[in-house]
Formats: sequence, C-alpha cells, structure tokens
Amino acid sequence: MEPDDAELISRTLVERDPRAFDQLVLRYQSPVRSLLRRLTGGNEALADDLGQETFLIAWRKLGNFRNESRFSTWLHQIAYRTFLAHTRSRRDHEPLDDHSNPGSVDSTARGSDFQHDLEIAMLKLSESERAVVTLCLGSSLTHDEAANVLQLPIGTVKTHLLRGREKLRTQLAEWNS
Amino acid sequence: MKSPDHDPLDMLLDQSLQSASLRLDGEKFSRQLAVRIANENRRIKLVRLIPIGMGVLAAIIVTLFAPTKIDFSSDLSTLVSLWETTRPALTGLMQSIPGAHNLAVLWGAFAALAIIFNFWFVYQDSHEFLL
Repeated sequence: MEPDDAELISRTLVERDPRAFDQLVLRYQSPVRSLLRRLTGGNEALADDLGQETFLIAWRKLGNFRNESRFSTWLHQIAYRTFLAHTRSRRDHEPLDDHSNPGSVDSTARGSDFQHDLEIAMLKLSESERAVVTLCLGSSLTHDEAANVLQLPIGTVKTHLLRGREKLRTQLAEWNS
Repeated sequence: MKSPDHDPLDMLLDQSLQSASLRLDGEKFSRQLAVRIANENRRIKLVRLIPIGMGVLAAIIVTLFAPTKIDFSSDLSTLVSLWETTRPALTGLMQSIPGAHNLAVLWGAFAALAIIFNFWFVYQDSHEFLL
C-alpha cells in the first residue's frame, strides 16, 4: 500500500529520508507543473524552473507544514507565490503582458484538437481567472482551498471561476455541437 | 470539483483540464530536483561553517597577539579575563606596530561580513514565504 502524505512528510523530517521526499515530488509534480505552465502562458521551461524552485522551498520549509490544509494545497500555495515573485521581479525589467505568450501552447495539448483550442482559450483569460480555473477545475481544489492558495476572498474566487468558465465556453462554443 | 450542471461542454472542459494535470512525466524533473537539493544542502553546510571559521580566526588572532600565554584548559576564569587581557594588548599593538590598524580593520570586516551573511539568510528565509 502506498504511504500517505503524512507518513512521507514524517519520514522526510525525522529520518531525513530523501526517497520519501522524492515520492512526494513524484506524486505532486504533475499538478504543480501544470498550474505553473498555465500561469506562465505555456512556457514549459520557465514553468519547470519555477516548479523546481517550488519543491526546493517545500524541502526547506517542510518543518513549517502544520497539517492545517492538504499537502497539495500547501504546495500549490508555494507554487503560486513563486510565480508571483517571478512576475514581480520581471516587472522590474519589462512591462508584464497578461496574455504574454499567446502563440505558445503547452505541448501536452498538441495531441488533441480540443486540448489545443482549450489551451489557446486559457491564454485569453486574465491571470487570476486562469489561476482559479486551473486550481478548481484542473487540480480539483475546493473554493476554500483555491482562496487559501491565491490569498483571495472566497467570493472573488467564485466570481473568477464563473467568469473564466463563461469565457472558455464562449471561446469553445463550436465544440458544443 | 463537480460541474454545476451537466452541460456537455462543461464536462468536456473539466475532463480536459483534469487530464492535462495527470500526464507530465516526473522522472527527469525529480532527478534534476535531487541535484538541486544536494547543492542546497552543501550550501547550507558551507554557510554554517562561516561563523565557525570566523570564530577560529578570531581565536587565532587573540592567541597570537595576547601578551601572555593563555592556558585555556586550566581555569574558566582565564576565559572570563580574556577580554581584559587582550584589549590593552590589542590597543598597544595597534599603536606600536605599523599595519596593525589594518589588521584590526580586516578583522572587523570579516566580522561584518559574517553578520551580513547571517542577516541575508535570515531575511531570505522570512522574505520568501511565511508558510
């Protein structure tokens, strides 16, 4: 049977077992990297770099994890803050375009026409809408958890989700038939 | 999260968004991360060695320039009186030897660097995330 998150965290902290942390990485790297890919507008290299930074911070701060939320929520929170820190530092050098890279689409989308259209439609959402849609629909976080990750009021999260979904529906309307 | 209704497009959206999150291969990512963690651990060890190195350097300087030979093992009071013994010695040294002032400045610079290093890491720790 697969050990649960609490057991792996405990083994990492108490026994300093790197394999335990590795299991946590393998378990959560995909949703974390997916979130970052969406936030960076499909920039895979940057998203993976921020993903590495996310897990490095998690490794350093694992002792601070209080079990008040799910481990995945905590990781998403670190990932989002890592992205914000990157965005802030980039703003110092160049103006941020919210739809920064509309031509670049996640390579995971290339296999399917709908996925391809979806990725392009995602790029047309605002940064906050994209984050909420990815967390709530892609990573299956609850509204509460998404609000916790993004440090937004729950009402704002619901509004972003509603608007984001509507925009996606409009963009992808031709697939409704 | 479940879709609020059973609209086919909503269901397709949910499925596509979720499936995109499950497909990324983690082996290479995990290997690269392991290297970064190993480097991070080495860096932390090195940073921890800096104050120790500073202490050793300070002890060497004090021992070399103290006016009398100090037997550290003989009595704890020797350690207590260390500062009283070394202060006039160092003051005298600075006045009598050309270049001693530079040595003191160098020593001060080392100590300042150690303090700056420590503050920097504490700042980095608290600045990154309050988790």
